[in-house]
Amino acid sequence: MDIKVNVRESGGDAYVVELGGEIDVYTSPKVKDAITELIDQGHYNLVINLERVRYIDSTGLGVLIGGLKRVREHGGSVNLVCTNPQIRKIFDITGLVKIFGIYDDEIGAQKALA
Amino acid sequence: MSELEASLPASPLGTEHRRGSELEASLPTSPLGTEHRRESELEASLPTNPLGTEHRRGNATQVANAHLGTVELRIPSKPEWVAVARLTIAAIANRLPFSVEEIEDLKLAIAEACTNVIQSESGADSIEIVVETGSAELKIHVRDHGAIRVRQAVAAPLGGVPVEGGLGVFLIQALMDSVEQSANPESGNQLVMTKRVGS
Repeated sequence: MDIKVNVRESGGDAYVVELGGEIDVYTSPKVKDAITELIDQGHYNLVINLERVRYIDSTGLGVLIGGLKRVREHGGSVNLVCTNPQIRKIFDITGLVKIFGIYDDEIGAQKALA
Repeated sequence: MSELEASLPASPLGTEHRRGSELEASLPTSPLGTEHRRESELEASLPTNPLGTEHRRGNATQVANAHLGTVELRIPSKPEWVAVARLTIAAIANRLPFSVEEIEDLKLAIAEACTNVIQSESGADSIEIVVETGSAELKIHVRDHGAIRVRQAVAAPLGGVPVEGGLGVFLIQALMDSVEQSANPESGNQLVMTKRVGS
C-alpha cells in the first residue's frame, strides 16, 4: 500500500498535484495535507492528476471534495485528470462528475482553469 | 496444499501457518514492526457441508468443491489494515468467474465497510469479515462489536458540493447486489452484502 504525492507549479497561478498509488483511509491524510498546504499558501487553482492512481475510495473522494470546497471559497477551482475507467466509474456513481471538471490530460485540465 | 489454500493470499504480509485444513496467515512482525499474530489472523476453513455436498478433507472432492467454502478474516480496526481486507477479497473473488471490474467493485465495497467501522470511532477493537463463497456469488459479512449504530447512505446531491463523508454506504449499495445492515447489543453491528457473478 503506497501513495505518491508530487506537487509542481504549472504556470500562471495553477498547481498540479500528481498522485500515484492507492488512496484509502490510510493514505488519504497525506493527500489532504498536500492539498491543504497549497491552499494555505494561497493557491486556489489546482489540477489533481489521478492518472497513476490505481484505487480510490470514499475517504479519497472526501479529501477532493474538501479541497474543492476550500478553493471555491476563494473563487478557485479543482480539475481532475483521470482516464482510468474504474476510477471514473466511482465519480459517475457518486455524481461527482457533475461537481468536478474531469479531463483526459493535464493540458485540458489546466486550460479549463483559466 | 489444497486448491483453497493455494488461492489465498500467498502470505501477503508475512508467514503462513497451516494446521489441518485451516490456513492462518498471521500478520506478523514486519509491516508495523510489532507482533500481530494474536490481533489479526486470517482463517480459511472449509465448512462441513456448505451446500449439501459432502466434504472429505484432503482428497479430490475437497479440491473440486473448494470454492464452496467460508473464509474468515479478522483485522484490527485501524486504517493500515484495510488493504489486507481488499487483498483477501480479491484473492477469494479470483476463484469465481468474476470480471476484473466486479473484483474491483468487491474490493471497494469491503474497504468501505471496514472504513465505516474505523471512522465510526465506536470503540471496536477489530473487524470480523466472513465470506461465504458460493459457485456464483459472494456473501460478505462485516461485523464489529463497537457502539451500536446503523450508518445511512448519503447520496451525492444533484447540485452543489456534497458532504465530505457518508459516501461509503452509498457506494456499497451501488456496487453490490444486496446490502443489509443490522445492529444489536449481542451480535454487534453487521453489514451483509452480496455480489453475484455477472451482475
